[in-house]
Amino acid sequence: MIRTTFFTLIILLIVSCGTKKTQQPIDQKVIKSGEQLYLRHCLSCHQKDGQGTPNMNPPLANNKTVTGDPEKLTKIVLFGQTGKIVVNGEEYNGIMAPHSHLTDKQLAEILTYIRNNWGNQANEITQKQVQTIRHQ
Amino acid sequence: MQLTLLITKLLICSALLSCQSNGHKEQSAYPTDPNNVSLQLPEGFHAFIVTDQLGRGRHITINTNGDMYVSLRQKKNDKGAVALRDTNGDGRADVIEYFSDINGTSIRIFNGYLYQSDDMSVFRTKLSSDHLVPQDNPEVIATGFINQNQHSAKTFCISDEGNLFVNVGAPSNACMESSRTKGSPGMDPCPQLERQAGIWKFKADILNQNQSNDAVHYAKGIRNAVALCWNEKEQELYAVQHGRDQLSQFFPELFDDEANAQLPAEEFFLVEEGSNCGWPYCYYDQLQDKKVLAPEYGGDGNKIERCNDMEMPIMAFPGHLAPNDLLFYTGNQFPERYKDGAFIAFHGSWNRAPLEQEGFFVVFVPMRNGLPSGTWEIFANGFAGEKPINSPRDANHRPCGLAQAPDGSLLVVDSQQGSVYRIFYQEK
Repeated sequence: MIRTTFFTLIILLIVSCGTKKTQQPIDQKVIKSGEQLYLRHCLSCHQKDGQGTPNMNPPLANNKTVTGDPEKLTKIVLFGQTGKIVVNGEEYNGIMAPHSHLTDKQLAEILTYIRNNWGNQANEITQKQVQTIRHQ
Repeated sequence: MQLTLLITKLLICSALLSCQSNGHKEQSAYPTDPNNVSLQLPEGFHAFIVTDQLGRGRHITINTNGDMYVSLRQKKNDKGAVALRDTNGDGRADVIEYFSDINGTSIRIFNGYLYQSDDMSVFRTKLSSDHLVPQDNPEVIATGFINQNQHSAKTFCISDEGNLFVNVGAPSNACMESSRTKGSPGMDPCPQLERQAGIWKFKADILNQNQSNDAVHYAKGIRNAVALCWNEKEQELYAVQHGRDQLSQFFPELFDDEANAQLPAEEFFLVEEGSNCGWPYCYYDQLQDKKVLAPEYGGDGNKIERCNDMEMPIMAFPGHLAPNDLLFYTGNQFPERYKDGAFIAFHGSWNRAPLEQEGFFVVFVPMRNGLPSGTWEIFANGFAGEKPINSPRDANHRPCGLAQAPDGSLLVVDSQQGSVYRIFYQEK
């Protein structure tokens, strides 16, 4: 019985991994550079493990806003955000500072990194996309 | 596959074992052998869990009959506070009753009323000897505060004369023009100092007082004093401040990650009427033992300038440890050296990253004549667990609130899982 459950689990895992691999492969250089920028500009609030700070700053890991609509996410990082939000059942009412002082390339790398780290998986956000959103 | 079976067996065994140890909890009686929790305590001290899984516990207060009331940051069962009663004298909670529409941090008993606060007001509700939880509707005591996102908890304390001191936190990190944004200058003068970043004095028994019209601006330049306590013996107000964050993030040319993890100090103040503790212009550097100008105002980590006139702390703790409650011990159960000393619950850091997070402990400061008479020491540790804490969410438990029970034992509330610990002294 246990053996069957394990087999089912493993098959489920393989299937779920398989379906997500339809996206374009991301250049590891972008991820590496995004990581370095994350450590400098984002780490203190969102922490190394992307788990955020309880009651203050939301987690980025397993957060649908991070892996969801690229435009919405880019706007939050570029222009900042205030007001109450709920992430995974927990309320946050802190402040996300605007990061428009970073270049389009830097922002694209950070955004792509957070969308593809700590178990997150989502499309790359390009420099061009950031540029368009910045000048909208 | 055999390995997986083995792992499964091990998991089942460990689950059974953990259930058994939960069962044992019920059997031990206070105070014979009640240790059911591993905290590191000084010799002769012991601890056990009064109850757990209460929710997002914050502060705790205790009535003369031993009934305990814990405030919750987020509502649980649609209620903002929870009452605990020990009916058989084993020191644990047998009756647990959620109540109140008010959720927040501070909760205190004064003159037969339970005082609570949320982010906008301080309330009181009459306690009755027939019921564990208040039956009446709450009355508004102090209100009219500015609605703010950061440091919004209106923590308070009440003097024996009936003065209500309310902490109004700063709505920012360092009063930058654009909040927590790299390169944004500090506003000078900081307009936030008019209605925030200070302590306001109200009367505890007058309804509907407004901050602007009815309160005294008692002290200013205090970024956020979640830990606030009136010392009856000294007839003085004390506060422990959450110091500013993000020195290295905003000023990497002046501060590296090591410096940021240490600085600035969490300052312990004796707050007098008219005190100016310096925020946002100044912070205390405990490594140099001086109050220096903040970099948003032209500081370089050394310059003092206007900070010469600011209130100095009576004691300084390492940066970012987040002092969340303060209590002066007046009981007789603990050894003599603890009498009149200060216990401070530190909630633990987040802004030490990328360095390991620290400070998930309760500290003791020996005091004489209202001032520290020795260095601070870690009194109770081990709340967070045994592993290094890289991110605050990794902490199993975080001390947040303190109360002294009628028998002289010390209660500690944890905010992570809502555990209440009782720490007591018993010589072998």
